[in-house]
Amino acid sequence: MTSNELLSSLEKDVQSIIRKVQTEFVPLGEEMLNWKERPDRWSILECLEHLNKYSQFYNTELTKAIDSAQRESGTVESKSTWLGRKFIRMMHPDNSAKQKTFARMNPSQGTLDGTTIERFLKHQEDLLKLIHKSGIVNINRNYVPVEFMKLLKMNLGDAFQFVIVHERRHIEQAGKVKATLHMLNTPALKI
Amino acid sequence: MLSGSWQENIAAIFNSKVKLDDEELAILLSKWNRSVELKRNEFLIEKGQTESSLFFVLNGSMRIYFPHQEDEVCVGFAYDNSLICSYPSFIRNLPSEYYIQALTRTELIAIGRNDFYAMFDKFHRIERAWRMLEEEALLGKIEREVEMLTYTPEERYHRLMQRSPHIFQIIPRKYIASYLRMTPETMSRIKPS
Repeated sequence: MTSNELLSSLEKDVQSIIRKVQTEFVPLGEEMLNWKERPDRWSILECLEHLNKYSQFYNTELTKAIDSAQRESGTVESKSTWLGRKFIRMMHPDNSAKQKTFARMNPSQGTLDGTTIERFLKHQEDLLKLIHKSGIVNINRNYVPVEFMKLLKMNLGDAFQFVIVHERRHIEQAGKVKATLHMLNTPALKI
Repeated sequence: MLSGSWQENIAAIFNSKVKLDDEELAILLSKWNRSVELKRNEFLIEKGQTESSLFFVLNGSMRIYFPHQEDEVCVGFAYDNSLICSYPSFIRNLPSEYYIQALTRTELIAIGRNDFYAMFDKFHRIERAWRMLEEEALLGKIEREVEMLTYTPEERYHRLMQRSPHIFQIIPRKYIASYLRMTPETMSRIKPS
């Protein structure tokens, strides 16, 4: 896949994440957004807040990497590194294995509110801008540190993919929480 | 317990009322030992039969209705993760006045009436959890009665839409109209808000 193809497919992913959040989660009230099936599960807002914490780190690091990159015209074949592939696979929504969340990325602290979604959507707009800006740099270089192992670095293309599969993973999770919302309002026992 | 398994889902329903310990959960879950699979339009129970089990819906959708003259009146729905039985028949051990019919292919798992009540002698916290589930169901019925007596058809529609939007994705509209005591034509004229 060329770098341009990769960037445009990632752009589509982010747009579909934005659409899904706007149509499926924005219309829900705060009670629904904060509801969780069990205390040890996340609510819809907690899924989004977790992603906000990720975005705060990666949007900043992606910006740094792109701003300091040399301009290179022309598209290249996009290349994943072994490490990049490994992290992307780990976070992919199709990988059903539970991944441990680091305490600093855990969103379960009290009630969240509507600003969580506003901040989430803002982060996605910023991410789209970063994807656009990457059209003129080499995405196989210009390294971004991994949040949980800062000595390790991913190239720009891998870092974008990593961030976006991670977002898809938790948006899917939030969709599953939404599917159980009827438990909030209707009795489990039907008589 | 497997994550996302029916055992976990039944446990979550009872735990939402009374946090059960491991022994109580093991007892509660050990007696759900009969699987039932219904094709679309098949009945879980028909009028005149006596309900001998409480069911948990693994997947699918159902309607509870009673026949009235030429008509059928929907009084409730069940879907994934619901507990369901012909309740008056179940608690009194008398023939059911209701039908419970599968609206799609539906898989259920059942616990026998005798097994279910036998747990209560020894495990009072399971009984308490069940009582609270009954209370919740009763509150739902009272709320519905008040809605039927005081709200306009349009208000009833919007309240259901607000409380249980998922119903509109799962259940055919003619049954929802029946549940709200209006004709499908009246319901189709109500504007979504």
